[in-house]
Parts: sequence; C-alpha cells; structure tokens
Amino acid sequence: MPPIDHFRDHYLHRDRAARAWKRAGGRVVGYLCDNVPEELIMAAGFLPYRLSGNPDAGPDALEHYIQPFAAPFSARNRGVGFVDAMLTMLLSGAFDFLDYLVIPHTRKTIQAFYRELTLARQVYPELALPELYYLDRAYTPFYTSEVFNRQRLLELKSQLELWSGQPITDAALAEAIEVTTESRQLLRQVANWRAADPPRLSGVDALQVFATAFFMPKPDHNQLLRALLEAPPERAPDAVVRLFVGGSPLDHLQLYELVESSGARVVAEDHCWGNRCAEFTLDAGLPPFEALADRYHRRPACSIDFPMARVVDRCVARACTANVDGALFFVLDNDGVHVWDTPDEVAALECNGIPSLYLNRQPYRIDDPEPLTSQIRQFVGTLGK
Amino acid sequence: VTERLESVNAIRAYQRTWLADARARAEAGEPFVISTSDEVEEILAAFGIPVLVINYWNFLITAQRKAQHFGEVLESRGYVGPHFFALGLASTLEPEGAPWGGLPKPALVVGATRHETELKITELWARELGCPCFPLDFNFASPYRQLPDDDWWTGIRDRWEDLVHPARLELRIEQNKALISYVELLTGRSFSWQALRQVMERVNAQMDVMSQAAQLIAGARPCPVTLRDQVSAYQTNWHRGTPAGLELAHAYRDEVEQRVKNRVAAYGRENIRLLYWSMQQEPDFHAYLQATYGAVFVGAPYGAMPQTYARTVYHDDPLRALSARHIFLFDMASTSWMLSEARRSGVDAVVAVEDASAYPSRFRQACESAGLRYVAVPRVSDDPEIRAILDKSFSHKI
Repeated sequence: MPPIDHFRDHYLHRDRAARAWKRAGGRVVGYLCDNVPEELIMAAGFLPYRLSGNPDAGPDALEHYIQPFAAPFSARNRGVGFVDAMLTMLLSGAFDFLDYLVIPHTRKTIQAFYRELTLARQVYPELALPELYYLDRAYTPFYTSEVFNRQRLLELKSQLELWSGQPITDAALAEAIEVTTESRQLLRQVANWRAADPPRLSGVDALQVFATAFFMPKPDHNQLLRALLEAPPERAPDAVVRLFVGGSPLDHLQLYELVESSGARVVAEDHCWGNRCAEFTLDAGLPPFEALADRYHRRPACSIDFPMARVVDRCVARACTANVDGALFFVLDNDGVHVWDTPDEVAALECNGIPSLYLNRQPYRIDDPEPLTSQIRQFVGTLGK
Repeated sequence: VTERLESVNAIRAYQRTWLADARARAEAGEPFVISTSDEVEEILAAFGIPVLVINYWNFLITAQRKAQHFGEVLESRGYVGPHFFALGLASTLEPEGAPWGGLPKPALVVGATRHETELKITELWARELGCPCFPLDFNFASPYRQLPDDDWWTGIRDRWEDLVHPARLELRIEQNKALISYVELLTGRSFSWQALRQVMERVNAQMDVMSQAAQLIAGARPCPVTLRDQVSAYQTNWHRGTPAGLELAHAYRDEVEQRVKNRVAAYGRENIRLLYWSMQQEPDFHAYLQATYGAVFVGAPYGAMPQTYARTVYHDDPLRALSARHIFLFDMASTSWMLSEARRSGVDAVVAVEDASAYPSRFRQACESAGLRYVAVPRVSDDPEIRAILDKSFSHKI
C-alpha cells in the first residue's frame, strides 16, 4: 500500500489505532482542541487521542442528555457543528475506548463539556463516559496568566501520575518531546511539499496526513511520515490555482474536496487540523517541562488569543509564506471565534494583494454542495492562471 | 395597568442625566469607561470614574427597537450574527441612531472572557473608539468544574470562598490589581482602599434594600409592581455601590412598601400569577396574556439577583471578596433557584424561553415535579405561533 493510503485509512478509521492500543493493554487519554500538551500524556505512558467530530453524528444524543440541562434564558450555545458532533459522539459511545478525557478551557462550548458530562452522568449513570479532567487556562498573554497556566500544567502532570501510578520523569518527558519535535519537523516537510509550486501533495491528502498525527501513536505516525517523504510525490497540474483556507476548524474533507474539484489546490491553511500541527516547536533550550509550559502559554495554537492582531498576523503570514493566489474563509454557523477576526484577516490579505472569498454561516455537514461549489468555482475563475 | 412607579421613572431619568453628565465630564477631559457587566463597576466607582455597562447599552438599543438596524450594520461589515453583545460596537461604527446621542469617547474598554466572542468584540470596539482594551480572565458565567449545591444562593454572601476555585480567585485578584494600576497610570488618579471598602459596604446595603423590595413584591397579593417596572428598577444595579445607586434603591423599596400597604394592584386582573424565568426583555406577548387570561408576570430572575451581589468582606480585604464575586455571581442553570423564586412569589406557572425539544428540560421536570405548570416559548415575540402555545397552556384552568 502506498504510504499516503495508510494516512487515508487512519483518517477514515480514526479510532483504529487507539482501539488496537487498548487491546494491547494500554490506556487512552482523550483530549479536546490543539492546546493540550500531549507530550505529558505520552510521558505518562498513555496514548494521547484528540477527539474530532463526524458530520453524520446527528443531534439525538445531545438533545437527549445535554440540552435538557441548558438554562432556559441562556440556551446552550448550540450550533458550532464540530463541537456538538464531538459531544454527541461521546454520549453515544463512539469514543468508548477512552479511559480519561482532558477538557481544556478553550472555547466556552468546549470547556462546558465538563459540567455537561458531569450532570449527564449524574442523571444517566448508564452512560459509559471516561473519567474527566478539567484543564484550566487563562486566555490573556500576561505574566500572571503564565504563572496560572504553568501551575495548571503541573496539576495535569500530577493527575497523569496518579492515573499511571508512577512519576513522569524528566527523561520520559524529554523523550516524548523528542518524538513530537520530530513529528512537527516531518509535518513541516509535508507542508513544504504541498506549498511547492506546483504543489506536490493535494490539500485533501495533506489534511489527512496532519490530522492522523492526533489519532495514532506518534512514533508510528512519524514512521509513516518518513515513508511518505521518501516516496516520489504526486505532481499537480502546473497551472493550478493556489488557495489558502482560513476560518473554522475543519475535521472532515468535504470543503477541501469541493475546492480541489473546482480547479484549485489548498496549499496552506489557518485552522487547527492543518498546517498549525507542524508549528510551534518547543524551545530546546529550556528544561522539558518548562518548554511545554512556555509553548502552551506563550504560543497557543488556538485562535482564541489576545490581542486579535496576533491571530490576524499569524493568518497573514501563513498565507503569504505559501504564495497563494487567493484565500477562502469558511466560517461555520455560530462560530463566535472566527466571526470577529475574519473581516480583519480578509482586509489584511487584501493589503497583501491576496483576494478572498468569505463564506460565513456555513453548515458543518455540507448537504447541498452545488451552491457552494458554484461560488468557489466563480471565485477560482477570477484567480485563473 | 397602574401608573409606573415614580421611583422607577426617577431611575430611568437618572440614567439619562448620568450619561449626559458622564459625556460632559468626558468632553472636559475626565475619564469614562465601557465595561462588560458585573466586572469592575465597583473598582471604577471607587475611582470615581463613570462606567457604562455594555449589556445595559445593548438592552437600551433593543428597547428602542434598533437592534435590527445595528445588526444590519454589523452584517455589512462582515460580522455575522447573532449580534446582541455587539450592538454597542455597531452603534459606534454608525453613531447616527445611537441611543441618547451616543457615547462619549472612553479612556478604556474593559473586556472579559465570559465568552470568547466578547473579548474579541470589546477589543474591536476599543479599536473603533481609539482607546485601549484591558482584558480580564474568567467571570461568573464561565461554567466551572465545581458544581454548586442546590441551595448555593443562601450561602453566597458569607461562604463565597467555598464557591470559587482558589487558583482562579488568586488570578482574578492579581488581574484586578493590575487593572487598578493601569487605570491609575492612565488617569493619574490614585486608587483608595478606603473608597473600595465603602463601595462594598454600599453594595451590600443596596442589595439588601433591593432584596427587601423583591420580597415585598413576592409576598403581596395582588402584585404591586409590573414586570416592566421590576426590570427597569434593576438599572440601579449599574450604579452599584455609589451613593446615587443606594438612594435610588431606597426610594424604590419605599414606594413598593407603600404600594403594598395600600394594596395597589399593578395589573387590572390577576387571575394567574406567572414567574418569567428569562433574562430577556418583557415579552411582547405579555399584553395578550393579560387581556385574554388575566395572566400576569409577578416576578423574574431580576428579583432574585440582588442577593447574589452582596459579599461579606473578611480580613479587611474588599478586593478579595469582590474578585470572588467576579468569578461566581449566580448559577444560571440552577433549577432549585428557579423553584425557590416560584415558591416565594406563589406563582401558578413558570414561563421560560426555550427551544423546542423532544426531551423535557430539567426546568420543566423540576416545575412539574413540584406541581407547577411550565410553559416554554421559543421567543418573546407576540405572533400567531406563540399565541397558539399560550392558548394551549392557559385556556383551561390552572
């Protein structure tokens, strides 16, 4: 099987590696979002597994177990599709291989999982949910927040030690950091491949290569990456339009497939299932734990950041570095994170000579692709090479 | 319906004169601040700096039926809805049509991470106004890992330390200190511990007075104060801890007491007593309920809230008590709190704004277990669909 097919397979069967790990006697620590230090989890001997949504998950479990707890004058912040999908899947047993779940303070609807699942379990003890751990985090970039955030990581470390029954040594942590550093280095090479002119990897495949880093043991993923990078890469047509994708996190392939069937290639993006996975290498000059604490406070991969200019600048840099012809911003319905910074990003790209198509209020599951395809084709047509 | 309370008219008038005064002072070079609600009003009161609460301004825009216009302003700039929290930003983007001639230029906008969108909106607003934005982490609305007991509100004033996470509290104290230093540098004013102590004393006194008014309303038959006036009276909360806020609260409580003594009825008919469990404005369908069924709102969360603002100050540390309140004010998802209010007001039914669902909400379950009717409507407008829901609920005897 060609290396890329392994990534496609693991993307399609996202729980396969985790279930195999579990069958072999290991324990799995699930987590949400991209700002949980998976190195700590690895150093404790667990498999870190980042949860992702499935657009076909449906709302029933959410309606049954969670929505009834919403305050009537402050209805649960429903509607960000990938968040609801993950919660639904937790409740319906799709993640029944998880032993523990780390819930970070990122989006409010993400951090609310802790309370929502706790209440649901109190009322419905039959729900097979993992043990929950709340990882608090201050959003602000200041000194006081750094102290707070570092202390919270120390507490997470202690909890992991409690779960595993043994201390996390500096050596184990250094080893885990070495593995994730190599992962990021290899993923950067993948990012460079697809950003080449012409691109040597499709956006659809790149998305699968990046995301699977969160679904399987990192050493195994690194091995697949090495094999991929040794194989002769695909060559795209020379005249392909180079697109950048910004906006909401995309944990499925529908949009990229539409774009790449419309005469364009996604050569870079700014969301937490894509290129960002290759960024934010830890500071090798710091002791292992301090490097982690520094990275997860000072350089969060998340778009929830202050000031907003940091988010906008990073977005523009990612687009400009990839030498794109245009940008497509795809913001999901009710995504309060990206509604407010996307207009600034569009304007900043315009200043850099990069035109944008801003698609907002988009559905998580694209049931009717025709209008969207038409808009994208029209936009790509204006960028024609 | 009876005349509005004079004290409530005075509260409403005070809002306008307060803003006019703040504008005049700002134009004369004095500082003015815009802030998210329930954050730093007391700190700014101790500084003697007027602060406009964003939620209040947004409610005012809504009450003046301008939400749609300013929503369209935001849409035209690429900021797609929902828009409630950003209506104030819109009124700065296009100040024509802003309530009461708009806002003066502030020295500072205080942003909070109550929701990730709120921080971004306050930052955008500050940029539009040409002033800095000071962000604070955490606040009462953040769901927390520690689930409060069913009677959390009974001990919130004295046992507040038990209801907050110690690390979050220490961080909020540090961030409040940083804000104080920043405001000192920005304005050239010195913060006074003594002034904050006095503000916190006045807050507690004011909340006691407002709670007394709420208790008088809840215990009276017939209901002496309309929902509209009860909600309007809540505006005293935006002047918490100031002499004016306390004075307005006293006048309100005294007038309510007088009405109770005189057995004044707020509504013409009071066949069915209702608790409105929503933070939204008085529903448009209230007039229909009154006219058709004599069903009237006698209470709302606004009556229960004053008790949640009071905090006992320990060890001469008012900032610690205030910081704890910043990160836990009340539990919006508490069914026991709603039931307590329903019982206190002796209502026949609870009306709530809730999306339709095949699964009954915990609030419905709690009410029905307690023998109370629960009427859920998806919105506050008065339209045929809403009337059909109300007719179904009220056309037979409760």
